[in-house]
Amino acid sequence: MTGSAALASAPAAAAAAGNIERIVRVLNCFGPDNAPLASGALVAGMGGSRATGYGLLRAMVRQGLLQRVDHGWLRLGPAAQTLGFVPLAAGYGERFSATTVAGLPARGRTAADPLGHEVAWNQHLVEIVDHSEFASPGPWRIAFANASLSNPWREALLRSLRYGVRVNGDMVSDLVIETADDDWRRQLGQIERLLADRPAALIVSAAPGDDGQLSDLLMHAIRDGTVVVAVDRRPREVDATLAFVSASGAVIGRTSALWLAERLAGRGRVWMLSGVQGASPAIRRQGSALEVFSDFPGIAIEAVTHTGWTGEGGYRAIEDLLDDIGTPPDAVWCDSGLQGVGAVEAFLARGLTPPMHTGGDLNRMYKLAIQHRIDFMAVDYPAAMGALAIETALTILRGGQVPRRIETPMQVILPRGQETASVKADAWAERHVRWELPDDAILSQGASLRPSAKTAEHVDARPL
Amino acid sequence: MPDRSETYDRAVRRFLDLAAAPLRATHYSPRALAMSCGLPANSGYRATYAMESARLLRRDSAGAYLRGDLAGRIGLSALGIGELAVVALPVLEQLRRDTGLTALLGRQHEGGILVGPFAFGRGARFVVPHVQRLEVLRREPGPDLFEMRVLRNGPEDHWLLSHPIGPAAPGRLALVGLLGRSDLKAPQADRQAALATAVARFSQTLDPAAAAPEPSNGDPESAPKRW
Repeated sequence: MTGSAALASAPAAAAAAGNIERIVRVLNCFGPDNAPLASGALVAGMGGSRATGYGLLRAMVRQGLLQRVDHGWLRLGPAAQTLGFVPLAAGYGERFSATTVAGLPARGRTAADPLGHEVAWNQHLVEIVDHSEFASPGPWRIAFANASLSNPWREALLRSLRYGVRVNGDMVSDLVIETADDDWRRQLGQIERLLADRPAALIVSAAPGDDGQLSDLLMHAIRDGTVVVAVDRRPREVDATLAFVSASGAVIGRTSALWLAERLAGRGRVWMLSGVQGASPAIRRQGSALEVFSDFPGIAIEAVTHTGWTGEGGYRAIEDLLDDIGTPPDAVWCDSGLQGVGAVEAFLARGLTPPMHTGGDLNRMYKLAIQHRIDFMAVDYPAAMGALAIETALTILRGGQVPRRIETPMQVILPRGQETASVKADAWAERHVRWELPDDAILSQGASLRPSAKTAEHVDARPL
Repeated sequence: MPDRSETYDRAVRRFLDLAAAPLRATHYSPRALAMSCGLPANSGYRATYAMESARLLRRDSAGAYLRGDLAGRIGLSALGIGELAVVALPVLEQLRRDTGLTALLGRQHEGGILVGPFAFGRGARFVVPHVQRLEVLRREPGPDLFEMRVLRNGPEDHWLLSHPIGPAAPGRLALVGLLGRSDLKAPQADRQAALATAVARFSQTLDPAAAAPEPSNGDPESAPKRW
């Protein structure tokens, strides 16, 4: 019997235990400072054939346990960093096991974690990067290449970013802003012009549709010493930015879909209204929501459409669907209230009771949901990430360490009495809504929404 | 020749699943742990046994599975601070036993403290999943007692005790003890004092400088500390 034939016929169980021992041996080889080791040496210490050794190393790299630093050299990767989270007592995950929902468990989640927190936070969170080579004396000139100002959320992002500049006023000599109207080719030209003026840092919110040229341009800028930070939407290549400031689209999609499915008791017709086609947050939210819905065989997704994250887009989508399908759905999944307000208004305009809805962000969405007693939940996508992007860029310019991906915290917002087995409120919608603020106020913009002591007006109302 | 890459991917996934299983629920037998990862009883048992033998998993006095000390060492090594692993876990364990409070390691950063995910109670709602910088809101006179902002589902203000480890340098490590949410009640003086004493003592133990070989004059008091 040849070696490969013997391997193929070996009992699967023995192979499994053997491979786990080999994985442990490899991880155990690395020293306390995580200095890179030659893959040949790792294979030699692993035991078994060279083919098995290299095959396992490649799989460990693919799944983040190892990281390539150069040809043939490896070190412990981001998935290995997560092993450092060693709680000292058992049982802190128990709460979810008592709230298992019919239809679960499923892909990406377990019965003990129906919201998939493990998936949401376990990867790459502890990849902290030292940027001491970018340290330079301030104050610094900062450029912002914005994807668009096409909706109130994006305006709030810009306000938050300006707020970040204002509170760090002595460290920022100049802020230059270009807006691309969601046209990636235009954004490419704008970034080339911005970089020609040699800013110390470039903050990018990438326009959708990039074919990779934006990533190439940004990677070139980083090599030239420009600090590049992405906010909200990142370019295609992860390495095209030093840090990405965002919030988890997967959590928004998963939590909102799970809430809908549980409120519907696992049975009903759902229309899905996404944001901008091709925008990375929209893709992640929609994909995660579909994944949850697929676990509930009684949930029928009758339509999936895009709205451009505008009230008009949401209104038009519901009009079209009502004309096409006729019967209103049991629920409308919106990944944001930006289109959610239009969707609700379309039902009201036809004299229909708005069905169960998701989607927050916009003050008007909360006002409508409370006024019309709509079954409703929201996870606000935090516009406060604008200020966080400025802080991140300044930290890097000071030579500090930052996580590669910076998560802005989010809250689950529900009207009272609408919690489900798995989805609990972090804040009540009745207290979250701001009746005194305009309909288009974005409630998640953090301190930039606070009244200004100097002017006795809301920063929100200042011109962009 | 069959493509074996899926076999290797499956082995790595199985490894990560088993390492994560104690974080999701409490299991008292290798069979239960393996089955929670969707593994068949036989091969799951062997894989769990292999993980436990290698100290990736361990069991507490009640027989519940926990992540083992090797997992902690690998994680800290991946962060480039593996030298702390030898004492960090026993010290944190001892600190927890002495004070009954959550303790964790952090890194001083921009006037705050950068911490990894941690849990300060039983139940997933007590998990702080994000890497974040704890902002100092208020500093009390006396021991290193701070009111700091913790971001979980939303911002929460907590009382924390923090003690630096090692020589002053950017990014130096700190031992952190949590005293509880600051809006609920002020930390009791005795708990605060106990934690302050314990944190200061244990942070000394963790100080790499304390481990550097020093010339001994034969006096047991001046002998280098072992850690």
